[in-house]
Formats: sequence, C-alpha cells, structure tokens
Amino acid sequence: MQKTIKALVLLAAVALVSTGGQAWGANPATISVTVTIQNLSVSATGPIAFGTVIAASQTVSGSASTVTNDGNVTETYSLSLANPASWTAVQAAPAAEQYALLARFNATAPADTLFTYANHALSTTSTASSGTKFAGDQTGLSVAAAATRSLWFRFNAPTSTAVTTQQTITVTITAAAG
Amino acid sequence: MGSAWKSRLRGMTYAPLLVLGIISLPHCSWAGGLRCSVGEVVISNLKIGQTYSLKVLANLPLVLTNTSDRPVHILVDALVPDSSELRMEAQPIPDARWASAAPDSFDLGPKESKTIEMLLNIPDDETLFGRKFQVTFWSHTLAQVGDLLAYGLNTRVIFSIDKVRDTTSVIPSGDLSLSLSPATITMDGIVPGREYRLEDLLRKPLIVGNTSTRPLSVELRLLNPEQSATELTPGYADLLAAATVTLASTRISLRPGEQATVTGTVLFSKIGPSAGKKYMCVVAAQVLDLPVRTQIYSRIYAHIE
Repeated sequence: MQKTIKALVLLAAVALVSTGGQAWGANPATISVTVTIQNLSVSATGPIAFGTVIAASQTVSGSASTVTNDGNVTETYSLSLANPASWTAVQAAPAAEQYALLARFNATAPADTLFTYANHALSTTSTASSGTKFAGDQTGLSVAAAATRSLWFRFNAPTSTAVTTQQTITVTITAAAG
Repeated sequence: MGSAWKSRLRGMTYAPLLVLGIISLPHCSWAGGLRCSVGEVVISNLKIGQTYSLKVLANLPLVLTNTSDRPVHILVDALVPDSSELRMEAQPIPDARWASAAPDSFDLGPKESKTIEMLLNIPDDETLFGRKFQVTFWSHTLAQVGDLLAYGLNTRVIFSIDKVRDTTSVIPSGDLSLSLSPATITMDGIVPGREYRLEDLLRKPLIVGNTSTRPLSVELRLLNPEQSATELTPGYADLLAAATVTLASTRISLRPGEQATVTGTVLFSKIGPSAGKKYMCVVAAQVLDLPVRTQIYSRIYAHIE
C-alpha cells in the first residue's frame, strides 16, 4: 500500500514537472481577426450660413443640417469644431475675439434659449452625443441605420473684434458604431 | 439658403458699425458624406515585436468612399481613444504611434473609393504579454474654404497580445474575402411557441458570399454575445439562452463570387419570454483552413410581440 502511495506521489510529481515544462515551452496562439461591425457611413447637408451678425449677439441658424446614418449599423455622432484664424471657441459667454458655437439635435428650429453652454457648446475636442450632450427633442446617440437627425446651431458672437471679414468655422460630424 | 434668410442677411448688412464677418459662404445647399467598410475589428494574439498590416494579416483593408458630389481631401489619423470609448475591457494604446494608415492623406473625387492599409506596430516588450488594447482610426474629410461641415468615421480596432513571444520570422496570413449581409437583421412580432424560418422573418435574406478569386470553405456558427468578440446590445438579452435557434447548414463551400442564403429556424418556448422583450445573438461566418482565423459577424435581433 505504501509503495502504491509512493508511486502515486512520484507520478504526481512527474505530472507537475511535465505540466510546468509545457507552460515554459508554450506555442504561440493562432491569430484571429473578426470584423464585428461592417459599414459605417454618415452624410449631412450643408453649408449652414449665419449671414452677417452683430457683436455680442446670438443667432440660431436659419436652417438645419440634416444628418443621415446611411450605414447599416446604429451610430453615435461626435461633434468638434476648428477655429477660424482670429477667434477662439469658448464654452461659456464669449469675450472679445472669442465666440461660442452650440449644436442641438432638434426636429424643428429651437429657440435660442434652449441651447446651454454646458450641454451644447462645441469645442476642438471631439465630444460624443449622449442623452444630454447636444440633445434636444432628438439626440445623436445610437441613431438607427437610415434614420435622420436635424442639427441646429447657435452662434454667440465676440463682444468685440478687429475682424470684419467673413469667417468660417468648420464642424466635424464623426460617426462611430454604437 | 431660403429667400427669407437672404432678405434678413441683406437687412443686417446695412446695420451701422456693429457688423461682423459672416460665417460660411451663402452658396447653395449640398449633401456631403463619407463611408467606410469596417466599423470595428477585434484581433487576438498579436505578437510583441511585430508589425502587422490588416491587409496582409486578413486581407482586410479599410475602404473609404466619398459619397458626396464634390471632391474631398481625406486624412486618416490613428488616435488614442478616450476612456469613454473603450470596449471589451481594452486599454487605450499607450502611444498613437503604435498604429498608422497607409496612405494617410489623399484626395477622393465624387463617389470615388480608395483602399488603405491599417497598420499596427507592437513594441518588443514582454510586459505587454496578455494585454488588450484599443485604437481608433479616424477617417475624416478636410473642410474646404467656406465649408461649415466636415465628416468623420471612427473605426475601432481592439487587439490582444499573445502571452508568449513568436520566434518565427514569418507573419501568418488569412483571407477575409467574405461578405455577410445585412450586418444587422431584426425579426419583429415573434410569438412564443411558434417555429419560424429565418428566411421568412427577414425583410432581406442573410447572405454569405465569397468575394475572393479562389474557392473558400466557410463555417457558420451561432454565438451568444459572451462567446463572441462583441458585447450584448444594451436593452437586449441573450437569444440563444431564451430560444432554440438552428442553422440549416453550418459548413459550406463557395466558389469565387458565389453567394448562399443562410437558412434556419427560431423557436421560443411558450412559457418564458414576456411581451415586448428583446433578444440578440451573433451569426459568425469563418473562413476555414488558413493560418489566421478570420471571421465576420452579423447580428440577429428578435423582438417578442
């Protein structure tokens, strides 16, 4: 009986050593590549023009950009802007040579008071839509394939500026799956 | 731009002293857009010290299409994702230079497409063994003078690093020359206790196709989200745990260019699913017999009446 136990202990020890040896010499695992989400696509109508605005005013765009998810999966939109040469975007009431551009997904033209700096102001950092971010009676969150959204903008002009020529602010709409 | 707005613009132009510049050119309205072929790809077991092209690794390029009627300039940037963008417990890549696109800057004419390579450069660092990372390839248009809008698409690449070093010098390759569409299929108005044929429930049939120039052996599998390289869609439960779902054939051979319709059945038990409940699973089509395992997903959603 003792011999049997010793033999079992010996076998167990051999098995442990053997397992350790296998781990030490493990082969590289097979690489796998899985496309989990296929086509993404986004389109939008533009441009949006504010026309001539006066210092320290706020103006809601006269028309919306229609943003369409023309891919085949649900998409969430992120928004960012690129500053013109002479002005800097802020996410609060602007001062001299500063401006704020706010964006809101809404079926119809929203009143200017419905935009808030906290939820609707754009910045140079791409920010994802959420239940509150850029939200109106529509959102840019989890937009179904083939669905459209109306995107409205409010422009808060600098309180004063040396610039009197046309300025272009570019808004980038980025779609990601989800 | 509407006439009312033009009229307002004309009126404001003459406002004394307080006139600022206008934003954007008041030319006619147009639609612009961008499309790409890959929204998310998940890669397992990449090796440290290697550089991978997804085109070489899996015949998986990123195809970008300018869907507008105007020419555009495209940039493709590799970005470190924000923590809110991370999926599947991945970490952001420590350095954006781990990833790149080739080419990363080019022009596209109206409706034109271009194929680019997504590249991953894994440092030779054993502390990376077993870790999982995520990188974003941001493809976006560069706005032209006067454009207020530009367009971007984020392709997520999630990859894990093998736990051992690969001492061979050969980069393996696979071939994901396979289409599986539509990518999302929804079955509405399911009544528990009644067996449905997949092909009868779908507005568009689920079709697997060989897009290569050589014959392919393909395996079709049903996966619950936990088994798969994706996640359960919020608000949905596991379809395979709640219903009996079968595929009529799970191994098929496809000649070059050939397509086949995926058929099968769905049966929910009479007791169990409550009205309005929503379920999902994944159909995976995998190319067999290649050094790199390549597969593509389509999601099935089922809504109980």
